[in-house]
Amino acid sequence: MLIDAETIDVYIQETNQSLLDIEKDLLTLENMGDNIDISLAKRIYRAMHIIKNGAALLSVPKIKELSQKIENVLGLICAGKLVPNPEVINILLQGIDRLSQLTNQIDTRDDMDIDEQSVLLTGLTSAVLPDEEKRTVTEVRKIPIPDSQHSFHIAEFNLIQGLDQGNNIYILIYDLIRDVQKKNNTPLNFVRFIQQHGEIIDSLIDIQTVGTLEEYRKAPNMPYFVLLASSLSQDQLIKALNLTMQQVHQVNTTIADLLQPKTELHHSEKQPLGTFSQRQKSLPKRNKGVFNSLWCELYFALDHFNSASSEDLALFKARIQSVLDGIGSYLNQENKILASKILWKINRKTRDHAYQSNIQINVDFQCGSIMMDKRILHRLINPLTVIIIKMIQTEISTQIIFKMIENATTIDICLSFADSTPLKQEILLEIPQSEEKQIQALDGKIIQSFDTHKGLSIKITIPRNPLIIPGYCVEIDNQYYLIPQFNVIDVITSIDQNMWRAYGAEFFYKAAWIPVASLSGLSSGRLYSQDKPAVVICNVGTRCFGLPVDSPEPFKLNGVCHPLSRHLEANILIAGNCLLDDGNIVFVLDMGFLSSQLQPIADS
Amino acid sequence: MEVNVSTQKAEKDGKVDLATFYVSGALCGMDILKIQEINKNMEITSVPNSPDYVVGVLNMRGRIVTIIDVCQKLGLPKSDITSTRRNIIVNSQNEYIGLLVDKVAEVVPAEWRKVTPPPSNVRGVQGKYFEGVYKKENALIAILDIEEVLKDESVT
Repeated sequence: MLIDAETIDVYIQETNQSLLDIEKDLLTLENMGDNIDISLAKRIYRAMHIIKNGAALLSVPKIKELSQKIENVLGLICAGKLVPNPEVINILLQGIDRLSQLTNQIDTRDDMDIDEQSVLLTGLTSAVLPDEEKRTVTEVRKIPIPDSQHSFHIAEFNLIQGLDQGNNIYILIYDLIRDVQKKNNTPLNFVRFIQQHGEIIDSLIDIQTVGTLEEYRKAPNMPYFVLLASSLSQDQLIKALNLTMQQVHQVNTTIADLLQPKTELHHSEKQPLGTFSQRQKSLPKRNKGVFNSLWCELYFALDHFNSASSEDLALFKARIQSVLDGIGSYLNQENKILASKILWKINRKTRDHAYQSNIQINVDFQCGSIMMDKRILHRLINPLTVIIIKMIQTEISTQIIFKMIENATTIDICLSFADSTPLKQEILLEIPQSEEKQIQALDGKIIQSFDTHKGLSIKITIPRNPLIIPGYCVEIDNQYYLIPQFNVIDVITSIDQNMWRAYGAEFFYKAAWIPVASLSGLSSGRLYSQDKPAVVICNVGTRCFGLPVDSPEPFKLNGVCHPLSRHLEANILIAGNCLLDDGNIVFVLDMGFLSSQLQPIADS
Repeated sequence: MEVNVSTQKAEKDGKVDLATFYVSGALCGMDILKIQEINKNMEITSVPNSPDYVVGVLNMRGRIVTIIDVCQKLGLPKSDITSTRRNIIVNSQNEYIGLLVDKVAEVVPAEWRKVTPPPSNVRGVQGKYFEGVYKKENALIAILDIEEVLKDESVT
């Protein structure tokens, strides 16, 4: 680092403040959804731009590289090419978090990597570009500096973005001693001054020219080169920046191809998230092939099952089982995701709370590469956020360690304070019942422990591979039931009396009469109910039937299924039970049994 | 198997604290060490299509516990619903099960050697449901054989 300690301190202070403001502004931006406030987006972009250029001046390459990548994404948001949805904001916040760490350790260590953040940010930038332009993100253009052995190495994407800001690209040659120090200017103010007249694409200090201390004493100079995109002509720029002809060089030859009338660097507005949505769309297609193969296997096994000899029967059974296991494992894989990708949202929510309460919260996520079911992860965000905020409210520390440990059958999430100040008095949290019930609905447990040396720690244990049944939760005669999603084909909420016949045993659906399953008959003794506000149209095998329910709007639920007690195993109506987030118990309906109870349809 | 029997015998040679409770007027007891907890949570969700003796299921801090009506299970007349009713939660075969009783009474220290074998019929209830009878000063405590009471007869 070539700049004095005072300048570095100023940079650290200014950058920290800027990063806090950027975080706050990003959260505001996220809440705006599609109606982006462009002026706010540009303010964030400018702030990040200053951080990047300051880092270049201070010769801190990691901060410079990371802030450049963040700036690229922000530039796309400003241009309306990327919608700042939660996924995008999360990635930006991850980058900003790492920038903050790098800034605070600017002169102490250099071993903090930025790989993960760089990959995510580059991926995001590339995702927005059409296929033929994706290479610009990683393809580097060499721009030699006149009368110097140095060159700028710039990603084409940044040059194109620079050209969007100004039609001309210049190399400015400064001497930090002569042009900054002797004029009693600060380096950061100097950078700000240049930025008033264009977009700094890159800058570098010529370390080798500084030479030895002796040479430096004789003729002190510190060459500083700036690659600037500006709409000003060369003469105008010389005048505006108070430079000489020798200090301003226009770049033409090395970027001639980029100066040609360019095709629009953009993408369909209908597809603002590039690869994210593309990836999601491609998933069913990719799995379709797998499922087709499994289905062929199953069909073959079933076709030969009835005619199989007793010797082959076991073989076919094993074959069917292996196919079913294969389908199960594919379905599970589909829902598995790196826990850190979703749990990061906790950081955002706690920060949101921190801004509102004017306190600091810093959560150090140590999730490793643990994979979890995303349906579980999404439901963990709220209760874990509340627990972390509760921990902060104890005022022991604002630094929380969030550590995940994978066991054979469970995943433990351990929350503890980073600075383990010995505590004499035992402190346990009062975890709100609503959040405790949300964890319990996932078949999870919360265990608090207190140690005079380690302080308070909270362990949340979640099953590693819970049985999750996606379905519709309905209420029938004051009880909750879960109808598996694959059995539901429609929900009819607008019903008139003409849609019933045979005393409620038949229901009119899509120009045909279908039988009605009588769940009420089992609990209330009434055979059929015609007074229910909704009918769920179900399908079991080839049979289609209606199930009258009391819920006007059945809601979707990914129920974490608990096995039935041995006293209920013989119950042919229910296959399992789950808990709702409010603690109510939901019974998983055995749709096979219900369909077997259907009465034949009377002739019209 | 022999080890189990001898262990059981050794345990039953010593002292036992009996948690006592009333079921349809009958004073019953069980080894207090078998009890996980006693609660008065009556937010029980009834289960359709289940045996009569299953009152329903209860969410006990995230654990779904099946509640058994001891009255019904023993074949005793149904008692009135009162505010003194309690669930005695036991762990049976790695499963938490609640026994709904009319009222929880005191803890009675007893000695196994003073427990007499159950008659074939205790107040109209089959003797198989009891481990024995313990005579208190002015009352008889019928000691429940929890595993027998909780045996799911629909399976056998």
